[in-house]
Amino acid sequence: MRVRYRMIDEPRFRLLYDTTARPLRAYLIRVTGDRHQADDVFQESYLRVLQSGQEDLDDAKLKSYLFTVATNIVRDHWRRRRMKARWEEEPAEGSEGPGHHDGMDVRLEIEKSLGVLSPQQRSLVWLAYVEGYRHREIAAMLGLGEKSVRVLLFRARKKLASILTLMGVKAEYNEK
Amino acid sequence: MKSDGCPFEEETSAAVISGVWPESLRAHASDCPDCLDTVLCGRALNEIAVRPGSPAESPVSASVIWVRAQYAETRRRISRADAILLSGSLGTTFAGIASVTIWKWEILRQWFSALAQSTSPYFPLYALIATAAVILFLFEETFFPGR
Repeated sequence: MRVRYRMIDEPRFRLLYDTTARPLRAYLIRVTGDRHQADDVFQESYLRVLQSGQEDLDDAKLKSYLFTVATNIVRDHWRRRRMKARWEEEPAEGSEGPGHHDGMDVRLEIEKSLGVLSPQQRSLVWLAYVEGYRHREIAAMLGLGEKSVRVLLFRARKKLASILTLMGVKAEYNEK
Repeated sequence: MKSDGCPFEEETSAAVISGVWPESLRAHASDCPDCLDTVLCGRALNEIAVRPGSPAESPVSASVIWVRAQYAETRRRISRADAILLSGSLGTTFAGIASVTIWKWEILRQWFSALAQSTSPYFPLYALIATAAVILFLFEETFFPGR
């Protein structure tokens, strides 16, 4: 049976864009480590969401869908290019990773630490600790099982934490 | 500690993002090595996620993406309409040929009989050329795309 789809209307799209453009771009830059690629994926993600006919989703689910689409595009790029470092593989020692070291020293160190993780690990930690998605949601977004997400996230977190600790970054509580 | 982390990791992560720490969670997190890692990673990543002058400015505006999507949608509709028109014209052509064949069957039958009795040595060549001409006429777009 052919399913007819309708595009999301313009006011809703603008609202989606206004609330997601910054976090999506920040996510893509950190996961891809390449601003140009991130910008391409950024546009492509919105276009695909617009053409997907997912207008019945509520705002939170639509945002989650947008991140899923973006992650899939990045993963496809990785697979198509058959880069030396694959989506799941960690970069070689000494690799700089996401490169926009335009912040202060501590931020620079954090950026470098993130660059040591594989793209998949970057994606996992970003979705969990910046976007605040739950394991179940991340599993759906990355096409993994919930248990796998827990294990992979655990490894990524351990690795990132050990590097951050080596760099002298300390865990501090941010209470409101 | 298990290899998939602390069961309170999601709550700890949510507290790092929101900055709201229930007392029991705070007490747990300060003693749990895994939650301490979560706090460390969460705080560090949020430090670089939102900051003045961060590279999060959008490369294109919503309007540009909207117009591009509209354009792509229009193209999609046109190609669908094209496909419908093509199938319609092919169907009509074949239906027309079939109708004429049925309507003028007697004349066609006599004509084919006459052709079969023809002694011309060039008959197979004429037949081949006629067939090729009909095929070219019907499927011109396939053989000469973009004309």
